Amino acid sequence: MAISRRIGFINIISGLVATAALTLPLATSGAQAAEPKKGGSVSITLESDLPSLDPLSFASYNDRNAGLLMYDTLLDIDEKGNIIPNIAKIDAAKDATSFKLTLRDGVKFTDGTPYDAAAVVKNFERIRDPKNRCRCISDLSTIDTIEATGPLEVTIKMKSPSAHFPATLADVPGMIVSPTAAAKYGADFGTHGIGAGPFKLKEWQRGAQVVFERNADYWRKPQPYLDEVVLRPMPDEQTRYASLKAGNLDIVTNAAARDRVDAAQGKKFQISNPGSLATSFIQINMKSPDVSDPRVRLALALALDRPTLNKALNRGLYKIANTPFGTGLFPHEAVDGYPGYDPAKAKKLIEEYGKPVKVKLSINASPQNAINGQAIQQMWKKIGVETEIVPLEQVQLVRAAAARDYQVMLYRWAGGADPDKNVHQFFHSKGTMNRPNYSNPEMDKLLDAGRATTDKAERLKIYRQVNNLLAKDLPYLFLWYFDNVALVNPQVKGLKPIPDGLLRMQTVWKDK
Amino acid sequence: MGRRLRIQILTLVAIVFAATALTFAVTEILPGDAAVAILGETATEADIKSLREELGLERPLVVRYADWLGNALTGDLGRSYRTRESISTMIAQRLPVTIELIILTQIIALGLAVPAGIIAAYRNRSGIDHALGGLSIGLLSTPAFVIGIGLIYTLSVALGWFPASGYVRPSDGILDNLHSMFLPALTLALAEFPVYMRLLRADMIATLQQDFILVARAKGLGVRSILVGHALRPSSLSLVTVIGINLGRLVGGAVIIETLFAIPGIGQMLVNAVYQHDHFAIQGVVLVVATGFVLINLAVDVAYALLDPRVRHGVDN
Repeated sequence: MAISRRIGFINIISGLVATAALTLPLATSGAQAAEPKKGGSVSITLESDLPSLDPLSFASYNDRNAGLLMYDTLLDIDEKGNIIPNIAKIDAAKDATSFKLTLRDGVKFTDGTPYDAAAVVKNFERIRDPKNRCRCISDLSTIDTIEATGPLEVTIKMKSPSAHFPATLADVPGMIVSPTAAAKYGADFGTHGIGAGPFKLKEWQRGAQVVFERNADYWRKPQPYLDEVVLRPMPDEQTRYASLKAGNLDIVTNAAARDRVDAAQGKKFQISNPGSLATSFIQINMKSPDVSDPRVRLALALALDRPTLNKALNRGLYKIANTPFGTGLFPHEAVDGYPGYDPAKAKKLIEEYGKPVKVKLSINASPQNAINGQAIQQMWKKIGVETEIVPLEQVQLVRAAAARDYQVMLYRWAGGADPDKNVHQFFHSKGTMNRPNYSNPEMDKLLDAGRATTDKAERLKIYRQVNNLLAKDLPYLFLWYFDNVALVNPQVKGLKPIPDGLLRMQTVWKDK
Repeated sequence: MGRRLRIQILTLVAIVFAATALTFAVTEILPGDAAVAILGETATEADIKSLREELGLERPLVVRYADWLGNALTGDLGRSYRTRESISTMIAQRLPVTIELIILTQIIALGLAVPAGIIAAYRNRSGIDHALGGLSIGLLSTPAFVIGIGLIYTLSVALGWFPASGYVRPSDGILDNLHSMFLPALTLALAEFPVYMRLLRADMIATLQQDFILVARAKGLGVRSILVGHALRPSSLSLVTVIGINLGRLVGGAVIIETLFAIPGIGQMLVNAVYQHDHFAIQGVVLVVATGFVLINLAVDVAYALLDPRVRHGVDN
């Protein structure tokens, strides 16, 4: 090892080792027949402190992880990304215009309030009230009525077919809060947070840690096994990994590529790679100069040498993307030909276009994105396209995207648990987040059709056509799938790799 | 003394006013805004506009500043846009953490710098003096976060002596608290050490050349007695001044170190507030830090005058 460390190509080797090691810990954790032990505490990183414990304000990965601890979800997703029953099960009408939720009997919030149909209906009223500004409100835009049709039965009628709706209930809108507590605390609910999840809030030391303790009345006995889960805000990436190494921390979420490689070499930690729902991409404002021409967009796509980019920027750890669907979504890579690397053809297309092409590439101003932007700039330069990089702060970048005030933009979408969530709002001509200014009646028809049936085989056919149309029209130039990799202390057992990357701590136990 | 104090207090008010007004203006220039930070990626332009109105962000800058200032004068620093917490509460929770960090830093820095400065002065131009000089230059030219990461990897990852990050409240055990604060304080202290050491050394060399030291030596007093008993006090006047001024500077260092070590002080609060465009939180921290800075300078001035009669008389005559 001492000798091989000096060799220059160690980076390439370590990349291979890392990829190979990714699958190993999962295989072993699956084979573990050991009986879960009770007790113990597990600490997990947060990128920054939680703003609130109220699902109304949940958006980030951090918020949603905390939400799972406190509230659990009506439905859940499994390791392959399928929607599965949890506190409720769901029955859909074949045309996806109405749904029936049946709740488990006997579930209670930690304040003793029964988790029943009335509580669920109250929650949806709370979320859908525009005054409450739930970040998740756009997810529920197709709902027409929600009614309690039995003590444990909720019927939801839709304005239009909504096959994507069940997946919504495996995320923030499925995190049900105690209606008694919500009424009692009002606007202050976010500092208390009462739910029916596997853990409940014990103490929140702002900026230092949020401590959750075991909910002894959790509905799924004998879970949870841990006494405590501690979330620790640690803004610095290097400190997170150093703390794991020093034994002050059990799980580092969203680990940096550098630390993944180091962890794979050291073999001291488990590397949990649940895959992804998400993609990184370059989005194109199709109504802005030059890039409105399909030949220019194709040329920009053909000029990207994505494997090299991935190797240089991500140590080759990510999987190259040709669709907007991560590994946890069934239309993942269901595409017939997405433009690969062909600079000669790209150059020809630009010549054919006739005018000099200049693009402004808006990026998040982080160092990693700046390198990424510069690499793209160089690749486009080779085909005669001049690129000006416009670094923006994240909030400003989001605003520019929302206002469609950009030409091309390096962007990432965290992804939803149903394929619809990664495409409808972005590519439908009436989509609320149609940032590419994309308008194609054929695409609109396909996206609506994808919502109109619950038959998976049929939906796969539809989304394959969506992928093919995206590969032709190119509102997005796909880069790679973004895996939610966690580095985990080897004493921590029972962590299930779920593709949304969120941690289901109820199954986790600690082998001391 | 009375007139001098009045001028000082007026200066204090002027500085705090200027600092908060400037911060308000700078926050305005910051790209992006609080509404987007709160609503996130899925927000539409209409959502953003309505929230901006609700938060009062659509009003002119001067009106908003006057409004904030009026409230601040009555002790109401507003609420965080993001967490709905009262800014006064947030600062009250976090300020003691930063103050503890700064005090520990000063103790460690002086604990290292005073003996080192004395030795370097006594053994002027010897091997040990040159070694300490080299060390000073090395530490001075290394940014605090690099020192911090170096310490984390040696003292906590490799040796396991200290936690790599995190904070334990004094109420959960004073020893655990000191244990968790030691590395961040040491990091900051190593950046202060060279300044203190060089300053003391220079003054001490001058003192050691004075007649009364010669007299002490002639009386046959021991080296330790001469250095600590006779030479240290007259050599430490400029050191005292710099320690005072540094208290303010250390708040700046705390911003970086608290972020690195995940310590919940006002430095970390400020960084988060800037990221989140949480105007009132930024204003609150700036107000407290600016006031603290000016008060410390005032205290140093007063203390200096008390320590050295020449200063006192020079001003009042």
